[in-house]
This record gives sequence, structure tokens and C-alpha cells, in this order.
Amino acid sequence: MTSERRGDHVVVSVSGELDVFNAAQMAGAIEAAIPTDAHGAVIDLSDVGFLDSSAIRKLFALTARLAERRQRVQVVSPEGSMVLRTLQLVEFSRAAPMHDTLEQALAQLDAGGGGAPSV
Amino acid sequence: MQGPSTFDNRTKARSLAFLFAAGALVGALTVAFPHEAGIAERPVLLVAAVSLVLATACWRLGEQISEWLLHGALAAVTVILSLVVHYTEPATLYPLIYTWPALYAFYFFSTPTALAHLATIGAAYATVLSIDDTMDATIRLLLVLGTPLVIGLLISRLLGTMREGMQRSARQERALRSSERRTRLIIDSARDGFISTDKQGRVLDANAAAEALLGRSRAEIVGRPFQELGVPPAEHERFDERRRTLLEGAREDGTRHLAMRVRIDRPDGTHLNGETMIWVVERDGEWMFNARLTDIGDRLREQEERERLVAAEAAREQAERAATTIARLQAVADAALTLHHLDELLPTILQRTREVMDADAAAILLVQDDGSLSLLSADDAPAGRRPARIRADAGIAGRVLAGGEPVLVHDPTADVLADPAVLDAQIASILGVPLLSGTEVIGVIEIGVRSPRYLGDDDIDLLRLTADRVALAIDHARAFGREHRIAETLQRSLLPQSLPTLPGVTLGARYLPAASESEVGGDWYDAIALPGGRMLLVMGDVSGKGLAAASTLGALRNAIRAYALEGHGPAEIAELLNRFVLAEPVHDHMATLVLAAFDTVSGELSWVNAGHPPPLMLAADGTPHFLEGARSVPLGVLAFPGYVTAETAVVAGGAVVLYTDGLIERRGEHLETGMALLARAAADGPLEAGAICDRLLAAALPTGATSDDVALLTLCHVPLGARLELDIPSQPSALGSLRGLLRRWLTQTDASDADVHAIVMACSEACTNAIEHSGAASEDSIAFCAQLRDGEVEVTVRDRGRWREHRVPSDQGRGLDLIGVLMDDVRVETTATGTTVHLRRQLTAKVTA
Repeated sequence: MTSERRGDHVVVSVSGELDVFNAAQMAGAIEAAIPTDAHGAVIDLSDVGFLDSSAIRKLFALTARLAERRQRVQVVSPEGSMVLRTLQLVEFSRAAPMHDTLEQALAQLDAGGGGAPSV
Repeated sequence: MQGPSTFDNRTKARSLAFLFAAGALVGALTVAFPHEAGIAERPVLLVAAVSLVLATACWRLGEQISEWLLHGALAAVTVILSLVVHYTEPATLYPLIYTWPALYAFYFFSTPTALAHLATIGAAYATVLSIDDTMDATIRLLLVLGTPLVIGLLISRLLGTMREGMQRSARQERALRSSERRTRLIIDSARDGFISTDKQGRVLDANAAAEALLGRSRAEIVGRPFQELGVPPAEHERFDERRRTLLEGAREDGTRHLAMRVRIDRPDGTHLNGETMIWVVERDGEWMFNARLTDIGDRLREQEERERLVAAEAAREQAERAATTIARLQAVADAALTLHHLDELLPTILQRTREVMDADAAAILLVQDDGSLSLLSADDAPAGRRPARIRADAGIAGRVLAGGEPVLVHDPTADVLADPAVLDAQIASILGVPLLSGTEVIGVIEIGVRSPRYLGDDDIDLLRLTADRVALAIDHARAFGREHRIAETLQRSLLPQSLPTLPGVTLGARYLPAASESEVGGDWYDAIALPGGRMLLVMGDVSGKGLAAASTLGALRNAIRAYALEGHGPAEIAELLNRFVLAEPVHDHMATLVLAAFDTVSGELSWVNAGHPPPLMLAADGTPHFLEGARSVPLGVLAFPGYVTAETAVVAGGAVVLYTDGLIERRGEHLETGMALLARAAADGPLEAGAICDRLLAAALPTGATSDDVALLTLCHVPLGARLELDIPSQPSALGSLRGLLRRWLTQTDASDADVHAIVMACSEACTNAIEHSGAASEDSIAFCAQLRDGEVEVTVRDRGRWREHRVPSDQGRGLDLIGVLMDDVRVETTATGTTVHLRRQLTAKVTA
């Protein structure tokens, strides 16, 4: 996992397979990588090969906490990936906006849009 | 002809020459001095001149003159004399000179010849007289011829006698000389010196050998007392006494000779070692001594040489015996270095003690905690080792214990025979010596010898020396035993209690401590399951032995686990470990190591080799192949070794074997030989992890004993069949490899990406559920089975726990919900022994691009 500051925002890139074995650890790491002074965050799941239900649960929980901190979250998962299919199954877009590329996600943040769960 | 035999012609000719010269001189003197008027001067001088010429001729001719010429010449003398007489008047006394040729004739010629010449003289003088004077002619003639006749006959008679005597004595002298020469030759050529002395010991004669032996010339020897010819002054008395003895003996009982040693100092500084035989002889009523002197220096030298050789031989034998004893003593001490366990050590040092002492029986008795003595004895009986316990106050051992001093007993009586060390009634001497550790008596060592030998003080000293070494060996073994037990426990605790299980692989491991258990080795192995279905295999060998090595090993093992779980690859772990070992200042240890990460999904093996024997890879058909890549230096030798990994694929059905050098190293054999043996054994049989391990051990260590410890770790990459059957450990870490294997299996079928995604996800969820309710600490595995039937994938996941559908409503439910979405059919069966979930999904046709 790597994180990168982009102006007011933070980009966190995750790789590997996320399941019950490492999901909690991963979620903790992502959360730790997003400082409170960051206005927005992008969680880039482009290099994630697998997400199981426990990882999904952690992602839901994470986006909820970040939302409580008024930090807008964008998620990147490319079109056609297995991860996107999983996220679509659980309608994750209701928790955070989904993007095909990192650029789109950053543009969305800069535009000041998204972030708030459209319940 | 007597004449020539006595006088040679040369003498005769010269005498004749004198005769002529004398005649000439008389003539010349007659003319020179005042003389009668009747003397005709001229003719006399003429005759004198002719006479002088003839004298010269005779002198010249010398020995070449012939007999006839002599007679002629003498006749010429007669004629010349007649002429002189004629010219000097017969009245003078001249006619007397006729006596000269007459005497000459008688002197040099035989008597008849001389008479013939006398007749010639008479005729010549008669002629002169008839010419010159007739008065008193008869008287003159008688006078002239009578005088030489009488004198001549006397001379010739005398000469005859003399000649005869001379000839006889000459013959005798020749014979004598010849005999003397022979004797002299014998004596002079003799190797021994011959010396004769008079009664007082004064040297009369000596031969050439005596000259050489005495180092003095004959002139120096003869006439001097023998003692002064180099006999040391201290010996003079002895010589005198011997001579007296000989003389007395010769007079009284006829003893005539004796032999004695003599030393002669030669003038040139050398000396003679001689032997002399002296005998006494009587000659002309005088006693004298003869002595034979023989040089026995060579004989003495040879004898000395022999004596020296014998002495050297004896010294060498003694030295060899001493060396043997020392070597045997050393063997006792060596036992302490090579054998560390008391059980092994005691019989060995007992045997060696017997060898040192050349004893018939030996025993070691050790003081036990309860105060009794444990006994180990060795004798020639077949049951040579009879461990037993005896009371601490029994027999000789008891006395040694009580006194702390050696006890030596000869011809032991019944009470000491009770001592179990004495197994043989023929034992004549028993010696017991305390075994001292510092000042504490830790036991007794006893030896016994059979009659007729008895032990003495030397044996006590030697057994004390032996006992020192034995006690040291026992001390050493006891100390070692303590450390060994600790180290062994430590090392055992550092080997994995059980191997991790991961779907798609089976693992087998063996660890054999060295047979002698002399030292705890530094070999270890480990297998660590990593996230994502990977497995890290570790095989290492820390140099050194004992506690220190074991603690280094423990540190390395834990460090590897920590680094691996942080996500480092083999090369990075090796670099970190190297830094760790270098930074460890206390234990100056080196370690060799193979770290191999195996990906159960891809079958990729990436490894790094830090100076360790290469891993052995087996293809699915068993073809062996050593992984020689990624070799680098051992840990702890370079600051920046630059470890890099090498990669290869382990095909499904193949295997990888990691091992330590104890498996391939055999004394006296090349490493390659051991490796080749290993490769053959690995390939020769089923490729199952445990079976491979057993085969390798059986081949490499046929006796099951090993001098070094041996560690062995085998990983088999299980092939995927038409049915995918996996035993999944009930641990979250196993899920990654399950998904990997399942994906790989599904790609063998016609499943589309969507099918793969759905089935993998559903199975992962089902297994997660199974893991969660069987409990994290559960040892149970989950039986997973997937098979393809009529274009439909059927999956069963069976656990031994209870399926809890409604445990945590929100989250847990989402998993089960997901499964329902992803699969066509979900069925859960719960029994008393566990829960089985059945999943089914119809495969959609693959979308071909």
C-alpha cells in the first residue's frame, strides 16, 4: 500500500488480494494514511485482485468514518475488473463515488463534488 | 783352470800393466841415476819406452784381454827383461827382476803354466848369459830361477788353500744369506710386529711391522728398552713384573709365554691398542725375550661398535616403550575430546587404561549421589562390562575412598576378593588409585594383574597419571552433558512443532541429531505460511555447536519470521539477516541458509542461497535437478553481500527438497558423490513429501546414524485433477491460495471471467464462514471439493463446526447473501459433526473476443 499527497488531497493505492486475513489491517492502514487535514481522499483499488465480503465491510465502515470527518472519498476501480464487479454487486457506489481512473477521481474532488453519500 | 775362477782378467791385465810400467821405471831410473859405464843408455831408454807402451796397452785392454794374450804378454816381459839385462851388463843385480814375471806366473796361473813360464825365463836368461858372460853362470842361473821357483811354489800352494777356503765360506755365506733373507722376508712381511729383547727388555731387533706399529724406525727402536717405546709410564711396572714372572716360570715350571694387552703412544700422537704375546727363549745360556705385537684396534673398535649398537638398540626399545605408554596415556586424554557421553566414555577409557597399564582387569568406580559406588569393570571375560553398585566402604575401593591415597594389595585375601573388580582368582596384585576432581574424590580406578606379575611403585605412578586423565575426561563429560541437555532442549524447541498446511502443497520434514549426540548442531528448518497463498521455506545451518549455536539459531529463526510477515522477499530477508548476524557481537557465528518462497497458485519458486548446499528440484516424472542459481556467500561474512533471488517454476506434481550438509557429507567422499546419491534416491519412488524424506534418509544414512546432524524439508506441489480436492487449514491465511488454486483449476475448464469471479468469490466467502465458526485456534481443516459436471460447477465446503447463519446479522449476512447472488444454488447441511455447504453454478459460454 502506498499513499501520496496531491495538494489538499491524499491518494492511497492498495494492491494484492483483500480478504478476512488482511482486511482489518488494510483498512487500518488506509485510515492511518489519510491525515485529518486532507480535504479529500482517493482510494485506488486498480491493483487489487480480489475483495471478499469482509474487505467490503471494512471499506463501507471506512468511508462512513471518513464521511463523519467531513472528508470526501472517491474510489478508483477500472471498468471490467473483478473488483468493480464485486463492488457493483454490493452497490458500493452508494457509499462512495466510483471512477474508472485516478484522474477522474481527482477531478471530481477538485470540482468539489461527490463525497456525500447520496442515500 | 783355477786362475780365472779366483781372479778375473781385468786384475791380471792390470797387474801385467804394472809389471811393464815397473820395468820401464827401473830402466828410466837406471839411466837417470849415476850408473856404471857398461850400461848402454840409449837401448835401455828405448826398451823402457816400448815397455811403457805395452803397459798402456794392457791397461786399456783390461778384462777384454784373452788368456793367450796374457801368456804372450808375460813372454814379452821376459824378452824385455832379457834385453834390459843384456844392455845393463849381467854383472848387476838386474837378473833378479826375472823374479817378477815368475811370481806373476805363479800368482795368476796354475802351477804347470807357471813352471812353463819359468822355463821360458830360464831359457831367455841362459841366452843372455851365453852372449854376455860365462862366469859363475850356473850359480846365477840357479839363483835367478831357484828363488822364484821356491817362492812361486809356496805362493801357489798358499793361494790354492786360500782359494779353497774362500770358496767354501762363500758358498756357506750364500746359503746362509739366502736362508736369512727368507726368514727376514717372513718376519718383515708379517702383519704382526716381532721384537726381540734381552733379559732387561732392551730391544735387540724388530721387524718392519713392529716399526709401523710402534711408529718408530728400526734405528730408534734397537738398543732401547721396550718400555720407552711408547708404553705409558704407569705400565712400566707391570711390564717388569711380567718379565720377572716369565723368567721365573721358565726356570721353574717351563712356562714360557704369556699374553697381555698393551697400549703404545706413538710419537705422532696416535696410539696403538695392541696385544702382545711374549715368550722367553734361551740362547747361548742367555735368557732373552721375543714378543709378537698385534694391533687389535680394529677388533676393539668393532667390539665397541657392537656394544654401542646393542646399547643404542636397548635405549631405542626403552624409548619406544615410553612413547607407547605416553601415546596410550594420550589416548585416554583423547577419549575426553571425542566422546562426550559418560556411557560411551567410560568403557573406552577403561579399555585404554588397561592398555596403558598392561593390566588383566580394570574397573572404574564412581561415587554416586547416594554415596554408593557404581562399578564398571573390564576384563578378558566375555561379559566384560558388568555395571553394578557396591557399598562405598567395600574392598579396596573403599580403602582408597577413605584414604584418598593409592592402595596396592598383593596376593589378595578373601575380603578384598569380595571386591567385584577382582573377577579372577589368579589376580596377584590389585592397585586402586583415587580419581580426583580438584580435591574431591569422584571415584576410584582399579587394575589387577595376574600371577606371576606383581605391581610396583612405577605402576602406581603410571596409574596416577592415567587417573588424572580419566578424572579430567569424566569431569569434561559431565560438564558437557549438562550443557548438551540445555542446548538440545533449546534447539528442539526452535524446530517447528508442526508444519503449516496450505492448499496445493504438502510438506515433509525430518531432523536427525548426530548419532553420537556429541554436540548439538546448528541445523534448523522452518516453513512459514505467508499471505496470498505463499509459503516461505527456510533451511539453515549455524556454524559452531552447543548452546551458543543454538541461541544464534533461535535469533535467526525469529528474525526470519518477523521479516517474512512484514512482506519482505527472500533476498531482502537475507540482507537483513546478514546485517543482523554482523551486528551480533557476542557470537562470532556464520550461517548458511536457503530461503525459498513458493507461490502455491503460480507454482513459482524464488529462492536465495547464502552458501548452502543447493536445493534439489524434482520434475513431475521424478527427474532430479539441483537449483544452482542465486548462490552467494554465507551470512555474516561480508558487509554487503548483495543477495539476489533466482526463480523457477515447480511444476504441478513436482517437488523441492531443502537439506543440510549432513545429508550429503560423508567422510572421505566428495560432496558431488553425496549429491548424486541424493538425486538418485529422490527420483526413485513416489513424489510424496514424507516418502521422499524417508527415501533420502535411508539412502544417505543407511545405518540411521550420522556424525553430523541432518535436517531435511520437502515441498510437493500437488497437481490439480478433474476434481479439485483440497484440505484447507482453518486459518484466514489459507484463503488466498484457495482462490489461486481455484482460479487455476477453473481456467482448465471452460469457465468465463464472470464465472471464475463468481465461483471464486462464493467459495472464498463460504470458506471464510467455515473458518470463522470453527474458531481461529482450530486444528481442523476444511474439506473443499470442486468438480465439473454437465457444464455445471459443483462445490462442497465441509467443516466440523456448526454453521451459524444468523450470528452477526448485518455483516455476516452480507457474505451469505453474496453467495446466493453469485451461485445458482446454495444448500447448507448441518449435522452433529459439522456443516457442509453445497454450491452450484451453471457455466456460461466463454466469450471469445
